[in-house]
Amino acid sequence: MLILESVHTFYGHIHALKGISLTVNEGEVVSLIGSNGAGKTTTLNTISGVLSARAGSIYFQEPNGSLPGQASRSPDQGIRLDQLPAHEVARLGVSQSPEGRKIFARLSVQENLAMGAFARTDSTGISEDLDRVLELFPRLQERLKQPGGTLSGGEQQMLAIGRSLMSRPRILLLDEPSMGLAPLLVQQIFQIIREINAQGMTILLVEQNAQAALQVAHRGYVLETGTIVLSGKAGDLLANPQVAEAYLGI
Amino acid sequence: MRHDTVTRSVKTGLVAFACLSYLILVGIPGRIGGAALPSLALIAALVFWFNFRRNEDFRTVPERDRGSTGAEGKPGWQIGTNHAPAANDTVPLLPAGISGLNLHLGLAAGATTGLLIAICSSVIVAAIGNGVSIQPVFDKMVPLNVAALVGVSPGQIAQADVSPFRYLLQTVYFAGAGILAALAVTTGGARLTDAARSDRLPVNLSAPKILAAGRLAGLALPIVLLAFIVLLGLPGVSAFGSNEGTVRLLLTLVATGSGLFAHRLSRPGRERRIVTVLLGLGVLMMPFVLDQFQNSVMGLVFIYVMMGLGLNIVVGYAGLLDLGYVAFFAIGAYTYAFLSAPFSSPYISNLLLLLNISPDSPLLGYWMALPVAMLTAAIGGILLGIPVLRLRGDYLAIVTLGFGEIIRLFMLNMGELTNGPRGILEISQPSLFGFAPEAFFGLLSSQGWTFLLALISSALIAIVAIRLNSSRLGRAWFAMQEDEDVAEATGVHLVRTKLLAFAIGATFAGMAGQLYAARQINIFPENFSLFVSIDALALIIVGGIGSPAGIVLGALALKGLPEVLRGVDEYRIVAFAALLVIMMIVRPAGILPSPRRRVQLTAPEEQGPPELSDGAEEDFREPLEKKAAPLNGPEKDEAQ
Repeated sequence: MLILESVHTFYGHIHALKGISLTVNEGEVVSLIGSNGAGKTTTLNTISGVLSARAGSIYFQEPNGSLPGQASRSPDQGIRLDQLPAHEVARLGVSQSPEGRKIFARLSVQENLAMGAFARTDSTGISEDLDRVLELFPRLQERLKQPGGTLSGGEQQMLAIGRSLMSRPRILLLDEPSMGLAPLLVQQIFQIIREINAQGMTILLVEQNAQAALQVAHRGYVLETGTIVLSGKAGDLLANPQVAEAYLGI
Repeated sequence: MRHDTVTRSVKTGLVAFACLSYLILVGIPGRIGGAALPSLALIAALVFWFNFRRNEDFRTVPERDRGSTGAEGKPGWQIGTNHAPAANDTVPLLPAGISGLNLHLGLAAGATTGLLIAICSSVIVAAIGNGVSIQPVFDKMVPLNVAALVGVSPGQIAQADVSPFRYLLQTVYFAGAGILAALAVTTGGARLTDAARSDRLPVNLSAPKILAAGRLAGLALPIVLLAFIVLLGLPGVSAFGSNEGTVRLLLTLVATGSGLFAHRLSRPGRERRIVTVLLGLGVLMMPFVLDQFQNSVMGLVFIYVMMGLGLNIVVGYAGLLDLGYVAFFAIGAYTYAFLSAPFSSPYISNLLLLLNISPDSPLLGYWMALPVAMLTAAIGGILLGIPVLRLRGDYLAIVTLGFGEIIRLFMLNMGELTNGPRGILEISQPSLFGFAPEAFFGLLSSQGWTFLLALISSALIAIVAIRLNSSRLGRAWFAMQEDEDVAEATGVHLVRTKLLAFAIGATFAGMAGQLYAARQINIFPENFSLFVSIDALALIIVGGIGSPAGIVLGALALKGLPEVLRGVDEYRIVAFAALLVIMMIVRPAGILPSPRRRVQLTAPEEQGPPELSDGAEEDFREPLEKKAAPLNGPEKDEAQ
């Protein structure tokens, strides 16, 4: 569904991604693990178009073929995301829940969720999805009129995920959903990720908490200074002694 | 808690005092300076009143939250569990600390002060009436400026011929109105639900009773005032003979102020709609009641309101700091000037002659020129917007500031096209169906007509602004203001959204500029200096960024108050500066901040939940690993 082929991304002269290639299949949870500065967030930002790749290509398969603009595509591989601006990538159904939550603090919870559905125009679908998200996160239901900035960290994370879901994405990019949360909340968040996936959502998960991430994921990639050093089934990675030593703290 | 109670009771007293002194001073007109203290009192009353309301909002909400957030992190908190609000979740009726006793004290303090002032002024009037010459004494005792500030201009006290009975009646009436106002103010902040209960009040003074009394007082006040005027004439006029203008101004202020009280106090639904219509009609009557000078000041104030509302879209909604807003104002003004003044550049004249149009008659009337001026300003907005799209914060401010100056210098130096520093003269006036407005209403002066237009335009712009605030575009602006990247990632087209903000903001400035050109009749490049931008920005900051009502108050405070303070002559700038400083300390978010801003500026101290989340973040690193380990226990075995 999502294919990255030797993607290179730069911050000025700094070569942040040195040829990343990865695949996410429909219905999968793929987890991207690695230490600080390995390029995890950069990868997600490159996919979502916030950063632009200097070389390589990103393909996204779109089932119904309605395309904005002059995006070039190869028939079997889908749309080239790397040539689209971020707002058009979002409209294609790639939704990112950014690192550090980044909810809109001054908008109410309801408005935050509405922002998630910004690109959509089907009002009945939006209200259906709103119900679905509120069912998933009952806490948000209680706080609909409250400004996002007044929520607790865990609630803000739920709001961030809910906001991403509101766009009815075809793939969800989750960036460090457990960051800064109390352990029990971390557990809740991963439970929710599992639940969303069970409902059929494809998820690309970036995490520092490698163990929790690999337990949720089907497959995983290990990133080190901008390159993928290991990949495989999540279970295999968990069992891998190198991974265990470097990231699991065993 | 005790401190809080004391503060509250002092505030209650202050509000009562402010209202009373305001109402009683209506009876002592001076020159225009006579308006100073009453206006301050009115503003103080409004500030305190909204203060009560705000405290009430924040005090009840976090209390409810704390109950449920306290459960966070405990095993009881599960996905799918819905927290129904507790059944005994009562909403306190009155702001904390306004107990029965404090209320009584406040009312008593207000009434006593009011009566004292009333009696003193009665004595003075009686003395004058009995032929005692207090004029020289007064001149010696009271420095000129101070006298002007309290509304008495020593040189102007006329020998009055007033019956003591009328003055007594007036005194009683105003003391009574003061008590009504105090009651309305004290209860104005409380939630208007009859079902709510309060155990802070003594039995014989139940909350619903006070509420009902306050609400009725608020509704009755404007009506009682009108009745008074109809029966006895404008208060104070006959007492001092002169200066009816001041009385007119004060009267409109009182009527508007009490109309606002009434609006707040009315029950939502039919009652509120009626009050709103009455209030709107009352405000529309203002241009007819005020005199020429006051109309001209208010016209300028509301032109600034129009600008403030437009700038608010750019700065308050979209978060783009624009210091060159005067540019669009100037574009609107000059566009109308080109279209309606006899002067045009040689180029245009030649072109017109070619087309067989006399260059001496206006090309387009006010109403035909309006869309042209708005469109031109909007194009100016987009032209400015395109180069500054990538800039944020300080850099954006500097570039826009430069743009404002460029337009002014262009007008100044392109003499062939704009007549340079000699300006464009004899701009034609807005007509009404092709006639001068005086032909329709003998009552409406030319300045009153400008004021009326400014008032209506401001109302229209405010409606658009309020609708925009809650629209999809408004959400996109706020989202963009908070985080451009995330907004873009949710599908917001940044370029389009920013340009729309610039264009819409500029359109309103163009409208304001056109009206300004018509008001001034002659415009010069120097009318469009940097200070216009600064004033427009300052008034939305003083009033409260993002809130239309706040902008009206800000414009009144910034453009109206200096005119009113002319009574204190050379001290007025000092007084004005002091007021600004006080305001920034007392209400940093502006007189009447929008709910969104309030969250941003008061979040650290007024909200419960964020503390909890901070706590959670602090102990994040270590326990996370500890907790994560047992969670993964069984699967780890499996993996090995």
